[in-house]
Amino acid sequence: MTHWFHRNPLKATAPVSFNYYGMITGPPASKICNDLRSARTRLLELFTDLSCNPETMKNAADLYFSLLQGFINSVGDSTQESKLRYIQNFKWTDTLQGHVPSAQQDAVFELISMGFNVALWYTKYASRLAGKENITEDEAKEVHRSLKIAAGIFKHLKESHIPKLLTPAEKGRDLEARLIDAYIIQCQAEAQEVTIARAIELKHAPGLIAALAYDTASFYQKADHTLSSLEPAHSAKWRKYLHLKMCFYTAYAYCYHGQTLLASDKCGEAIRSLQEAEKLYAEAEALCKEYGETKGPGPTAKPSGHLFFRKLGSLVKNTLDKCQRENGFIYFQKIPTEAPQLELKANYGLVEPVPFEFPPMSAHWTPEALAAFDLTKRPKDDSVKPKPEEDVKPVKEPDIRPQKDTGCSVS
Amino acid sequence: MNRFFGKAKPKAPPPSLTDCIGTVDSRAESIDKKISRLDAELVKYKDQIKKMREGPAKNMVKQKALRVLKQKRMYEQQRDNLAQQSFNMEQANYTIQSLKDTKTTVDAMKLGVKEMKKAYKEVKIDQIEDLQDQLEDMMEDANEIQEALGRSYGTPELDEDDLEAELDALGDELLADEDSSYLDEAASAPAIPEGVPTDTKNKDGVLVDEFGLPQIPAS
Repeated sequence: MTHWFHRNPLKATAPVSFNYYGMITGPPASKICNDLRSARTRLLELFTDLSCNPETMKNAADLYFSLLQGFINSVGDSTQESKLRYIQNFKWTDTLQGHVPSAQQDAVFELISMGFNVALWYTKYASRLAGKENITEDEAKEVHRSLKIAAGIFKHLKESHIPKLLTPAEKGRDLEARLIDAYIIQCQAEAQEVTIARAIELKHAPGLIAALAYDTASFYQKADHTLSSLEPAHSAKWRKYLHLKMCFYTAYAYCYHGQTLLASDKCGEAIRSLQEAEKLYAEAEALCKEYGETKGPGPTAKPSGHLFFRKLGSLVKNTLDKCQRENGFIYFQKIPTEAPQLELKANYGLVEPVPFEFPPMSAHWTPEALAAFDLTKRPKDDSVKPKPEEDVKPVKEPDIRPQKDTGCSVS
Repeated sequence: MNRFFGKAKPKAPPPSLTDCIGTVDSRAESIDKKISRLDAELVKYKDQIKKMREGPAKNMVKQKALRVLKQKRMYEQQRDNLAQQSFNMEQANYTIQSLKDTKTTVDAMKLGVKEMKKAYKEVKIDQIEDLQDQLEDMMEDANEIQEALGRSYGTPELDEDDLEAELDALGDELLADEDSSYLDEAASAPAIPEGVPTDTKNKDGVLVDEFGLPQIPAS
């Protein structure tokens, strides 16, 4: 089954040269600085490289992060702060704020922001893969795994590294707790979408699918709720997506719950359940239209034309017709006015983020290399002229390839 | 123009044969369900009839049973009708698919012939015959050399009877080696390994796959 996901843009950053004229007093230090510059450039290039795969991304990210660790923790004693932590200024934009960057002179800020971008890359990779028309089982596993990895990265950043920042995140910035919570929850929900598709393909019990769909819908609802205090201009499109998916998967839950009720010979309740599914599907369809018209970060799409969306419509209609037909000449049950309560508790297929750790410090960081950074010396360029500030250039992301029935259009 | 004459409503995609077959099969399935319920009712009536003594009450139950039976027959007829409809559509689908396959096959064969003709232009029969003749001559020369080198000389005279006798004796020696003690070790062979090593279980002890779904579809 094919999928469609909303994606916010990647964070953009200013290039960092890691040039510390005068401060560097030995070859080990200058080698580390050169490696850092090239590793960072390489990693930033991979974010927009369509041929990049998770293994390549992990290798490039681990290389950069292991070198960057020397700017954060002291060599030999990881509980001690590095003397280099505050020597370099970093600039990063946010996924919802357009091109206005935040700047912090803190290596932890760089670690968190780059880690955030790596997680975003995993979600975009999953989105590209899941959007194909005929996704294979291995590809579904890859999508599932990528989304769990992304959730794990976001969670790790939130719990272990963001609290270390001296300057707390402003409202609406990526590093704010509520925003990163929304990202974590969205990744989990989307991974569960893949599981639901798999359960449907394997013809699992309707009760299991209904419970899983209900849980997924509540994930989307929770993510939407965490964004409720944000400025609408920045978050409206994203929230429309979350609301849309909530309606969609609640419709799925009612639809499969209806099948469960029918199997228990409760045809009247089943019909009511499917009518509720039909209503929610129509609601989701209206939200698709609104989503397409809402301005904000993220690509433009018409999800109602997408295959994953239309499939549910057919399913609800056919199942409702079947229930009504059977009630008409087998069961003759009264249709209740209230929709049945979904007391569904999922036991299978629940998604937990994959635990994530940054790589250990690179072997290049020896006590001699650290000693080669002499902070007591002034950089030579200071007396000549101030260097112009490096500009943040927007990241040009490759578009998801337009496909038949995807409903997406190149913006 | 839209204001005066309106706009055509967006058309739903026309139903495909496969969708129709699915719908009809679904209706047949529903009728099957109804029939099984009627069967259950009939069994109930039959039990009642067995227990009752002759009289007007028994006749009344019989009448009820007959009425239900009549309904059942009617539904069975309807179901057969639907099954026939479904089959007809399946046949149409099959015919369409066969025709498509035939066209594909014919196209492939046309292409094959075309390729064959092209390939034939590259082949010259005279050249091939010359090549074969040359090979034949070389093989004959090689054979003569082998025969010349293969001549025996300076070997002692061997008696064929002696050779045959020795060959017979070989068989006796081979038979003497008969030993089946290796079969005794079969009892101590290791047991067949059980279970699949990569399986994982969730907290309830149920086998689950990589998505967290039960290995055997729960139903």
